[in-house]
Amino acid sequence: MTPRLPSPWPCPPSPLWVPLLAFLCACLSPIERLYAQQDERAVRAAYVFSLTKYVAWPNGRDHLVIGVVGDGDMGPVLKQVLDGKKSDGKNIRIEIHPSESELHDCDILYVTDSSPAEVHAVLHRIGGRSVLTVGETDRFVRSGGMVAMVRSGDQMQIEVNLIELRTAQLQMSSRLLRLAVIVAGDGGAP
Amino acid sequence: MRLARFGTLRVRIISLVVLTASFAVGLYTATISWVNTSSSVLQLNQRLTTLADIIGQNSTAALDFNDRKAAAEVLQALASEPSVVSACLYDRGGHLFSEYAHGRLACSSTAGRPPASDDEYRSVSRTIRHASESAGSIELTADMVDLHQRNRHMLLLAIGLALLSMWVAGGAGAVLQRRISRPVMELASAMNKITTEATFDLRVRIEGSNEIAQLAHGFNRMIGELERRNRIARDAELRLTEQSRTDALTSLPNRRHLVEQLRHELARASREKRMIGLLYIDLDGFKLVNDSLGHGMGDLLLCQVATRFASRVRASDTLARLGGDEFTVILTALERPEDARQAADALIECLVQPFVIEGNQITVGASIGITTQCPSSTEDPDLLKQADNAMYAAKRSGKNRAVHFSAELGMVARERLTLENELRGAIGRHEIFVVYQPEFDLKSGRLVRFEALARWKHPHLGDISPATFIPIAEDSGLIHILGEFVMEQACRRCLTWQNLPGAPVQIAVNVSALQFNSEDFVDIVSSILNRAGLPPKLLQIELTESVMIGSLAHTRDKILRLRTLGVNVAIDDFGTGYSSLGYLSQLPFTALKIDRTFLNNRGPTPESITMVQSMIELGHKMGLRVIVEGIEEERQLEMIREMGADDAQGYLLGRPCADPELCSASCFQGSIPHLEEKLHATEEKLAAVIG
Repeated sequence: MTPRLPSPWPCPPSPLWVPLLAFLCACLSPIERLYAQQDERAVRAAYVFSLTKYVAWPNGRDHLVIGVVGDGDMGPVLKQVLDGKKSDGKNIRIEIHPSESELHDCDILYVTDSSPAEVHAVLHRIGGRSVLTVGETDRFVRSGGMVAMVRSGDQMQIEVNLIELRTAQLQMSSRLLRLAVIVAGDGGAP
Repeated sequence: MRLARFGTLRVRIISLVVLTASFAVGLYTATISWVNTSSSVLQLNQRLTTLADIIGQNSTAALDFNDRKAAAEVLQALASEPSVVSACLYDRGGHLFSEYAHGRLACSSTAGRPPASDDEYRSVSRTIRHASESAGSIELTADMVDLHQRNRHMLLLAIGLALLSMWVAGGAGAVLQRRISRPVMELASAMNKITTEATFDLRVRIEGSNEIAQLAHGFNRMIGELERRNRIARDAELRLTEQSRTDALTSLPNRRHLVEQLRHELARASREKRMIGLLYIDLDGFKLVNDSLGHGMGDLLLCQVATRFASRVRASDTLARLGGDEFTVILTALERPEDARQAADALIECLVQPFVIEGNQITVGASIGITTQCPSSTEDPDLLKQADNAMYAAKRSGKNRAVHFSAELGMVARERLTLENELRGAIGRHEIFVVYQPEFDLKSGRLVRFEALARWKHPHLGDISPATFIPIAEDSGLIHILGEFVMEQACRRCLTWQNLPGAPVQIAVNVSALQFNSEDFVDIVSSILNRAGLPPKLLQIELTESVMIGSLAHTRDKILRLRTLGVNVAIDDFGTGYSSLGYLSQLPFTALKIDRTFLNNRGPTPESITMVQSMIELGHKMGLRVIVEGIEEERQLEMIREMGADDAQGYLLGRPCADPELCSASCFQGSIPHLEEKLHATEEKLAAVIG
């Protein structure tokens, strides 16, 4: 199974008014806005939002904290699109580059554009806590990350490391697992 | 025929049961079909909804992560649901995201098409919700072909079951009919049988205790009651038949029974080639008993006579009473005609001993007519009539005897019938007249009386003998009128003689026993004497010995009463009939008339002379005047004179004459014509002989 990107929307992409339109559309629906922009980051943000609905945390709080680490520009996009939104009744808060204490409060940690060493360090920082780690590469999953949204042509492929998920006591919906590529970890070596 | 068949209980019951079952099953089938159709549509809707929800839920991830392939795979699962012809998955924006089409139906590109709800398709549209948000929507459409087909199958099955039910109901109806109408038919056939065969011993079998059984029970009771009543009616009928065939007085078979029995016996005799005989018995003197002693006594006498007769006939013979004093006996299996005569003689003989009824000694005789039928005879004669004729012949020839039927008797009987009819008008037509024959005193030679004799001169048949018409008059009852007529004529004539020389001259009148025994006979004599104005001492009533039949006391009483009047009473034709000297001595006669047969039998024989002598002496010893009839020769006259007879009568002395004043004028001169000369001549001859 090969997930594909959605068919091209009628609106042609434009570097200039994409962010503006994305913002406008976000007022109505973040996914529509992201789709409309044909922007990979928006798609990733939308996927992150969707992920919140297919993963169950063991502590079951009434809000979700999404931390963003790394050098990529996904932090502002996520902040822009998801912060303050509600997912299944839970308020989403985005913490870009969270502090150590903030990191402890995170439910999802989005790792963007990071070297394997950085990834490893971040995963180490999390320790054994139930934090869903989301990355952008196949290597991320193999390096001890849990979910990766990997671009494959014009499609976005979800890859999942089930062992890590279980270790962190996170439950992922089988519906999502049906779409995902299950990847085994290689022991966390960079 | 067809209508009648439709009207039978059998057809009606089966029709009713089948119709009822059809109605019930039809109603049930229609209801079930309707409910089934409605519920199956409802079920389809529910299933579509459920399916849409499941598919939708399974498609949320595909929608959220924009995985059309996965969505198509989820929708493909509907292939196992053949009734679902299309599934359209729309994303959150209402755009077609994935579709599944099983038939020719295609999805619209945007959501919101109104759901189909017609006979062909049913569709549902469900919003897909996940995590409190709409993930899109799904439209499922199912065609109704399958449902309709299943409903059709259901209906066919129901119709099949309905037909089966009707068939079963028909069978049940037939069974029911057999249980209801068969017993009814049995009842009907039993009734028919009873009606046609008239047998009441038939009973209907009773099974169970239902209404039919009660009906059968009632029917049996009714038949029982009918049988009982029929038995009573039959017994009554038998009694009536028996009564109608039996003589109430003597309990002997009556005329009707006799006629039947005679027919029966004739047929049997013809079959068995046996001779059959019939005796026709008429009692002599019964009428006298009835008239003088009353009917009660007569009835008692008849009963005793019947008992005596019954004791003398064989068991195989049939003794019957025809009525009055007439009896008959059918004699079966005779060897010879003489057997019949023997039987008749035995019956006559059994009556010789007098009957004693309430102290009265009564004697009756019997005149019997005999007829026999030979087995060879092919004729079918009226035996009863033959015997009747023979019986009359017996009566005429002196009574108390049996006469065998002959062809001549048949002729006589017819002639007799003619005469009887003629005799009824003879007196009125003056055909009957009286002649007088003189009687003389043998001592003085003087005329003492005339005997009145009735004569009948018929305009066509000529002179008819009294021996012929007197019995007819007696049998027909005309004897009373005739007797009175003769007596009155004679008395009036006698009165005229009293003025002639030689008076007084008596008149002797013969009186039939029937006349004599009538209740008012003495009164009648008295009134005739009064009317004629004749002194009673000039009348001599002459009775035959037959008056002795009947009650001796009554006869004696009546003779005494006549003598009290002054009338003389003579016994006529003495020595020929029932003469019983015992009776004679008890009856107060004044004179005795010796029958002519003692003198007329080819001249007097020594025996007849002795008998006449004895009778004369007997009469004298009893103080009676003795008259001798039938003197035709002078030597007879001489003989009886010597014997001491008082009076003489005969052709020698004078023939009967209608006008004795003319033809016997000399008689009135005081003596027998030439009698003295004759007597003298005889004496002279005797003297010469002696001398």
